Amino acid sequence: MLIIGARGTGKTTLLESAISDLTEEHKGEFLTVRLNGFFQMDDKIALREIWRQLGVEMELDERDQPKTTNFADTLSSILAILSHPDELREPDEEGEEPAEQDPSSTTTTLSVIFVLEEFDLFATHPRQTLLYNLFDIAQSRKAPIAVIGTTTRIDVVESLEKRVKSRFSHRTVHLKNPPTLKGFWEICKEGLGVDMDEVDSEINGSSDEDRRCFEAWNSHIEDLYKNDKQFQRHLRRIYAQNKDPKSFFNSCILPLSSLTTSFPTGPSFSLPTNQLGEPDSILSTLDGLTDLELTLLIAAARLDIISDTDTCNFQMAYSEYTALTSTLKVASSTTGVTAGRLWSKEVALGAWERLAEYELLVPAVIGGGSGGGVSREGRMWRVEVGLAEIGKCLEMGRAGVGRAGLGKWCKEM
Amino acid sequence: MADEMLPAELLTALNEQFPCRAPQIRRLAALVGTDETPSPPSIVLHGLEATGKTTVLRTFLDGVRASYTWIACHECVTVRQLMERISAGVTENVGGVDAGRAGDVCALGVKLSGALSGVERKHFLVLDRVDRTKEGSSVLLAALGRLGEMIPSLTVIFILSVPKPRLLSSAEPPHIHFAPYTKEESIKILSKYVRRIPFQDIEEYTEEDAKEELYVWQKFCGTVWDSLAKGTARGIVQFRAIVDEMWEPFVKPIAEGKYGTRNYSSLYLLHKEMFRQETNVIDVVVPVVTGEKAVAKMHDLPYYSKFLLCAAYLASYNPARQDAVFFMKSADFGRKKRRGGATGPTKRTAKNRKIHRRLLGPQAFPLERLQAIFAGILPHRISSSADIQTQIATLTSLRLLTKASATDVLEASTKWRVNAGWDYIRHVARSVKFDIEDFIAE
Repeated sequence: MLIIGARGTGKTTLLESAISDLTEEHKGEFLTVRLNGFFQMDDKIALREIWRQLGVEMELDERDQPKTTNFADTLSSILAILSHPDELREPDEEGEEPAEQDPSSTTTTLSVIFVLEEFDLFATHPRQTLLYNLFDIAQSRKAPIAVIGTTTRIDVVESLEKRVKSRFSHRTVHLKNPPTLKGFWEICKEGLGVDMDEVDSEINGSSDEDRRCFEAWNSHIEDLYKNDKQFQRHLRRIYAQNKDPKSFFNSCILPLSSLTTSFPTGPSFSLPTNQLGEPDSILSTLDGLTDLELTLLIAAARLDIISDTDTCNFQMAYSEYTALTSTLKVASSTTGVTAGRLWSKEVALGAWERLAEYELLVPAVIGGGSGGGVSREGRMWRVEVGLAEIGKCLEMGRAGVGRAGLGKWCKEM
Repeated sequence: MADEMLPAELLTALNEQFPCRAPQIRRLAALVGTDETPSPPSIVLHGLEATGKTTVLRTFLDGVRASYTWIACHECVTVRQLMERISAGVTENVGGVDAGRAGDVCALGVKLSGALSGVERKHFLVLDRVDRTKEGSSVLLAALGRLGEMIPSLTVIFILSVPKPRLLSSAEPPHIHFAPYTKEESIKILSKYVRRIPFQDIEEYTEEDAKEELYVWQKFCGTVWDSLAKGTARGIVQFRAIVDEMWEPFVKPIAEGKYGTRNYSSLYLLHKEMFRQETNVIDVVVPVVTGEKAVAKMHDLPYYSKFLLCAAYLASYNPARQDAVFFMKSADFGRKKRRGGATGPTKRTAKNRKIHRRLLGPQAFPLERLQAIFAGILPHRISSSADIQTQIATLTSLRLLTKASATDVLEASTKWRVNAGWDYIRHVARSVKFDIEDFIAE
């Protein structure tokens, strides 16, 4: 079966808690093999990893592991372990995975749960051998295994080959983000508050003072949600941006770490802007650019519109830059403001290449970073940011102090 | 109790050592913390170059005596090397036995969880400049990010210059932004490194002098920032290099006793020219000798090679359809026609501004066109002993001509391109008394 849901919706958490529940109920009756598409980058590595995890769990001898044998050998030996049709018993009624008498590992009854995280990456492996074999075993009931995949891609079933798809049970579970702000807050509160039952069960000798402190904390959080305007705004913003509880928790780390144990006397927990958050976009780097770099970037972005191409090279950007700066010189000589120094070509080329390093410019030809025989100045680049975006940034003062004057270059043509 | 006191003292010490980085250090303290407090599985540190990411983090980790492994990712050429370094580094720092090497991420995860399973302390894996890995893909980064989730006692810290959204393709890890320094901050930092004024007649160094030096130094830094660094070199390292370079000549009059320390403005006027030049901004290995012409760096080419090079330039920068206009032997006819032809297409009001051909860079041309233009611009008949093909080959080996297509050299469809700038070509053309300006299409 497949579990599909966006990042941070708790796919893995759900799976792990289900597995740990099962472990408590049926201890020693099944094995879990955890694979992750990020780590097992091809079927060969994945197979070796399955073998290793099975080996660890079944306490097989290290020497039995095929160290240098090829893919087919490993696969066939795993299949031999997994599939013993003669020994197959009826599936257990409690779990969805049947149990098996595995002769190769002494006499324990064993079924195997395969957890494939980032399932979509397994589907990109050539010919989907691993998926095919796993599904084939699961479907034909040769061995008692269950394959559970988690992924973020909603169309992952489409990427399966036909022969793989036909063996897939087409059982999918979709996990969604909370549909309302209230639901989102319930999740956040769960993470933030202190669970009183847990406190009672875990800390036996918790004094009354501690209890009071925790209760005060919980009510304080509830109070924040209901009354504090700033807190509400913050919560709403995260909800509107990504509905990800994790980014809410991230923003809580700093205020929480500065809390002291003398809490009940002065509950001070307010959330300023998210200091640990991910930057919104590449535009946040504009702040750190030098004047020359910024002007070159604006010049290059202007070219996009003026000459109706999406690529440009240094020569074009530099001549545009020269034109822009000279108009500024004329304008400023009348007003007496000295701004916009015209830098020489060498300096500008250095700045241009730094822009490329920051990935504000990307090479227009794939592999064009090395040039392909074209001189540094003639190489074609594509500008990653739009002129309007830069203009907006400048207007809002997010691109450094005293640069709002450059904003008019972003508007006038 | 002693442990809890440590961070506060440490923070003040760190803040003294690294001015203007207080918020970042505070965030690091919250995220890294001591061995008792939990840490997130992965942290991202980002900021443009020379904002102190590496130094601050390293000093901080040393300061809290955390157990950490430092991997300089830009030094690893292949993924395999990176993996092996990580596994070797972690096992060495944790103090386990080295049981084989990890060649891929999967094996690395296994090895690290093995090495860190018996360890109670938190371990930090710092991946410095992780965006500079040569072979790294997004899947690799994501896998490295997941290491921290897989192994509870491990925290992976990524250091990179430009953050990309969804870099680790996981729910967002905490980011710490190292903001670029502003003018005031830069000067404050540089004030830690005040250089002496080399006074000539001085017996002892007094506190008064130090104060005066600081005054001049800060004023000077401000001037350099406004005139040079703001425009081109905002990184603290570059800024400091410029200041260092310009300091000695700037304070020479003070050292000689001609100027006092307090009349800064007149000193500035004296050195006004210095802040206009760009020599201190550009890194040069060989110092530029004044008076020597830059054009002197010329190849002494054979006579026909020079014409070939001019022909190649014309072929690269002129549109092929105007060749007949420029290079027909009956010159009068061509001139007339060129004027007529040039006005034709521009009459139409272009919606977009036309890009000058010279700015577009050299265009590719077939060899036959080069030879035809070459024959067209030669002032006299070619001598039968001149081997034109060899000279073309020589120009290619000098990289003045480059092959523009991937096909074989001998193939007829192979295209070529000139690899020399306008200044160079004009010089070459003048040396053979060829008026190349007449032949360039506007």
